Amino acid sequence: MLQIKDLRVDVDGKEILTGLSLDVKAGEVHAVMGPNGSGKSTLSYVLSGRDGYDVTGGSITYKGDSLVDLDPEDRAAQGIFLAFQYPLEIPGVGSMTFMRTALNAQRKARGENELDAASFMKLIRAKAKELNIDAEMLKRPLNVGFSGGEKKRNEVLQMALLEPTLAILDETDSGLDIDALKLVADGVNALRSPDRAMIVITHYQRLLNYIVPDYVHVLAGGKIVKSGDKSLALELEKSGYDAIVAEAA
Amino acid sequence: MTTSTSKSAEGGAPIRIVASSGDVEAPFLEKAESFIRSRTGNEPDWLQRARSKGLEAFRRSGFPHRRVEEWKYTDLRTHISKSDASSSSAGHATQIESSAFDAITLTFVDGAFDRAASSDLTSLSGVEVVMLEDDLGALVERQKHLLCAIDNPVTSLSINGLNLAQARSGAIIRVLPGEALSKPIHIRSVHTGAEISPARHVVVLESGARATLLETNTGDGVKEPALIGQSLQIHLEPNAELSHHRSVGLPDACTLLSGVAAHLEAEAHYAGTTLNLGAALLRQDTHIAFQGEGAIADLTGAYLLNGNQHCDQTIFIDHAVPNCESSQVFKGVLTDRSRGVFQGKVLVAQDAQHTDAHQLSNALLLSERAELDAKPELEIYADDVKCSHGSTAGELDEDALFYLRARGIPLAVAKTLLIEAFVREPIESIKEEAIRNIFMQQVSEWLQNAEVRT
Amino acid sequence: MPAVDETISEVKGLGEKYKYGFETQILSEKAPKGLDEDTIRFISAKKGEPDWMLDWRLDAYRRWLEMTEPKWAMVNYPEIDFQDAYYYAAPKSPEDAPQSLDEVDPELLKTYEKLGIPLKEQEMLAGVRNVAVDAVFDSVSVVTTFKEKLAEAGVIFCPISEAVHTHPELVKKYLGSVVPVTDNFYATLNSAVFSDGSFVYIPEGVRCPMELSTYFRINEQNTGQFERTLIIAEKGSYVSYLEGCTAPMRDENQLHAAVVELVALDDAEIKYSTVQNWYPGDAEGKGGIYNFVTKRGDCRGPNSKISWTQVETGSAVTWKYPSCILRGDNSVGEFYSIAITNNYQQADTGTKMVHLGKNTKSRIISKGISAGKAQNTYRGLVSIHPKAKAARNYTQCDSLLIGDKCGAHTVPYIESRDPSALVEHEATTSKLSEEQLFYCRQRGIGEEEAVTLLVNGFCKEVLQHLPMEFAVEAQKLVGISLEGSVG
Repeated sequence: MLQIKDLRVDVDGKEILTGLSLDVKAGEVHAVMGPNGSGKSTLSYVLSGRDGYDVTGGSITYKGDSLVDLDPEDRAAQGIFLAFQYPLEIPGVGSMTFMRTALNAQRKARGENELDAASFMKLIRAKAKELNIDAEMLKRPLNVGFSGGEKKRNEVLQMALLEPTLAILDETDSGLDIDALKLVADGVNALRSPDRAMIVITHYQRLLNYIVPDYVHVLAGGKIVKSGDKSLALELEKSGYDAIVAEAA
Repeated sequence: MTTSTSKSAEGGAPIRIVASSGDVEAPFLEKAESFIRSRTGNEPDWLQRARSKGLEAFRRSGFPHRRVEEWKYTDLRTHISKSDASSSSAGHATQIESSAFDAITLTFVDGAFDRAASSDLTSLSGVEVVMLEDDLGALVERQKHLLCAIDNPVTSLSINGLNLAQARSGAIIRVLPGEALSKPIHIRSVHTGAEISPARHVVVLESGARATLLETNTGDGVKEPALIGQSLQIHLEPNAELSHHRSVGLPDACTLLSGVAAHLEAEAHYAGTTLNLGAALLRQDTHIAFQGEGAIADLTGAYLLNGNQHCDQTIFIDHAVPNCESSQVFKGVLTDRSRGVFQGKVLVAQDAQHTDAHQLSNALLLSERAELDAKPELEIYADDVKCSHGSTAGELDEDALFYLRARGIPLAVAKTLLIEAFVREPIESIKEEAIRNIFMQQVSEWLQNAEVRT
Repeated sequence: MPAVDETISEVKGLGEKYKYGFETQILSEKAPKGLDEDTIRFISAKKGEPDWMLDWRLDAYRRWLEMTEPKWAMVNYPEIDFQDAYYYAAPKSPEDAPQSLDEVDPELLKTYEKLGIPLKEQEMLAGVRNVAVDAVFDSVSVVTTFKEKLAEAGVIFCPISEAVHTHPELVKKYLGSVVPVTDNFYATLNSAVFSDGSFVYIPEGVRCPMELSTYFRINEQNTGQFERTLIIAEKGSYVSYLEGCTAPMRDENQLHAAVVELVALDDAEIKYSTVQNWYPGDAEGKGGIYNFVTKRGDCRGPNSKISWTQVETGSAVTWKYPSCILRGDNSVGEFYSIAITNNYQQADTGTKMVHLGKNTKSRIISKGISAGKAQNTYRGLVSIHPKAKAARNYTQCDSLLIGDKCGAHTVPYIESRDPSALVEHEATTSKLSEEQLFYCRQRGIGEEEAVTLLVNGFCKEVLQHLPMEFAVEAQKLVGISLEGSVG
């Protein structure tokens, strides 16, 4: 589904990703772990097409085509979803309006019918119920006044609604206590499917107790220095990044 | 200086003011002319020429009046024409004596430098101080330029011109690169009579220099209406840091026009605090011009007025370059028939991305006849900026007052406490403890004298 | 388009006895270019006005000659030659009008489509030949029903040119009582040459049974460039008046100088909503309307309320300050504004809240959006007079910048002369958040749509004060006005 080959990315003229390669197949869950400043967030932004992340070398191939020149909304329409580390608060814009606009924009881009207000309401209520999200929350402006946990659950709800084929979870565990973390992880696990791949970006092993990955990669200095199965995460937890990075070098 | 026609919004035909000097200006022109003549041969030609230019500017426009937008709320021309200043007894400020702390003291009596009452200028280290009336041969270009500059967007060109034309004395101060002065410089202006000549000061902090400047204005002896003009031009070279504190407590015979212009190069920091306890009319203009990136200007101030006092704070912050920060926090307490004016304008040029500019003006109106006029203005041409302003005017918070009284604090004491708390913020921003304490002391004494008890 | 005019005047005449048939038949003539006393006599004669009205106009004209154009607003435009304009222009001849929508500027049609305006109505707005009001409304019955309902309630709603004849005592009493003849240069000009506009009178205790809007959308186009509106709400009455149109209208006149006067007596409430979408000029800043408007409401009686809501997206230059004189004790003034400028547009707009009475309250919410090379200024006055005990004002001015070539300015004047008054003012300026924009796009929302969504969010507080039917169109309009501002 996704092949990243020798990817080099500049941010503000500084090379952050220095030759990263990663191969993700449908149905797989890959965890990318790394210390601060290793390029984790850059990876999520470059995959989703944020301005200011310049690809200077290598390639990103998604479902057989290059992603590099696509706008963020086109990538989204092709099924790429980024769960933000810090979901944005947008005062004045209702959560419902936002989600309906997004869903219909994607459906339209894919040549599908747009949903009318009633069908959308039905759909979102059902999704919210599946994820145990209080529909009251959706009446508020997008993420405004939401707690950290609520924001992250709202991200999961959007994921459930938009049904991406590749979901990138950027530090989804940050700022969550254990109960909130479990709720969010349950939501994510419910969305695991053979057609859907996930990249779970995290600093800590903790999240991976709840979202169990098929593969674990260690990102350091802008490239993947070590890959393994879920036991690699435990090893990292025990001996720390320094040891693993040093060993890999 | 634009002399736009003043209007707050639609309505009323603009009235064209013939800007010529009439009766009000005549005596000032005459005095200035004869003063400039008297200095011929005693000062350099460039200064003589600049003085004449200044006088011309004044001759052209005269004293500004309310039809000039920047003077909308302070009709100086009318004030001066009626200058039999009121006889209210307000305006006793604590005398700030430099003996309260160790300082380089520069005393000016009625605008003239009093060498005997000042520190010995020959034994200073890290700083050079020259008086305007002394030999100016050693001045660097920048000092000369600042001394002669009159086009400042806040202070009216004509007033600045008159100041230059008539300035008899003034301190021209230069802090040498990298020097951090251990003692504050105290410019102490003492006024005794009606014949007061304007002063014109220049302060340059060279690269990385640090200094504290204190300016005080007192004049218990003044009985006859007096117009006091003061100009201070500041230039901060890269990484220089100036703390600048001003306190004014003048009797009601006095009118004070005070203009400060500060030019900030890269990474320079200007922190200015003002405490105004009055004069019949006090107009304080502050112009901050950012010339290099990464510079910061923090302006704070408090004014406490009674009687018929009129205090006008007009500030213009020119964000001409990117990545600079400015803040303004001003608090006013108005009693009796006093009038407070706060005009603060922030201009952000198209190139000045990443500007951070905030402005706050709060005023307490404690009398039926007091008046506050505020015009906090933003003019913004760059998009990646964070700019805000806030302004409030009202009386003491009823709930807070009740809370204190419910705890058994008498009304008058409760009011005093709340007012003191209200004006504390700007004064607490003063880093130098000795100066902060004196300013706070002045506020306390004002509160004790003021009739805030009802 | 005499046919259209005829229909319109017929429709207008329904329910009212239309005895002065001065309007349509003689419209083929027009006054010569330029302005002098003869022009004014000509206008007045065309309207068959009584002498007192003519004298009023002439007085205004003579005073106008002594006045000069205001220059204090932050707008720049070439000197206007007031002698190089027509002050009484008859409608264009049917030959000049487009024969069908095929001949209309496709850009204009695109906008209509985006706003979802029905085809017949599009033709009407675009000035297509031989489209009559009844065609637009399917039948005259809508208009008739509308008129009947108003008449039942005793509401007078007619062109001001008609009210001069039918209700001279009301016009004499109130015209110029809120905006004096010599109030400002443009208001004085309007007083001399005003073309037409609405007259609304709501009798005591009456709640106007409908928004005065639907009917207006079509008819208003002929009120001309010097519109004059007068609304009087008697004791305890209520009216919601909607002016303007979300669809841009064809208009040949470059200079518009309207005057709107509102009078709210004891316990009365007037809600006045405007959507201004005159031609803003092209992307290079050529052409466009100069819109110099004086709007003022007088809360004359105790407990009265006047609320202005405006969405300003059109015109090359806007100069407009809908204001409230809070004279009656406990009266309330509100100003909710969205001003959007794009390309080379310039807007200097805001309000004046003049607190004279006790316990008067005012609220100002202004949202300025500037894009392209536009300049957008909020200018406002809050004035608390010494007798305005316990007056309250809250002002919030937010500016949003889209792009780095535009400007957003805030010029508030706050004058408080009462200690028991509380005046609060807040203002912020920021740019459209790149993070928010990216967030939307990541969810698949295209850039322009994302901008529309975010800007509508920014404006929400104002949009919700518009009447429902209008709010939806206004939201679309926000997006249309900002097209081409990003990317």
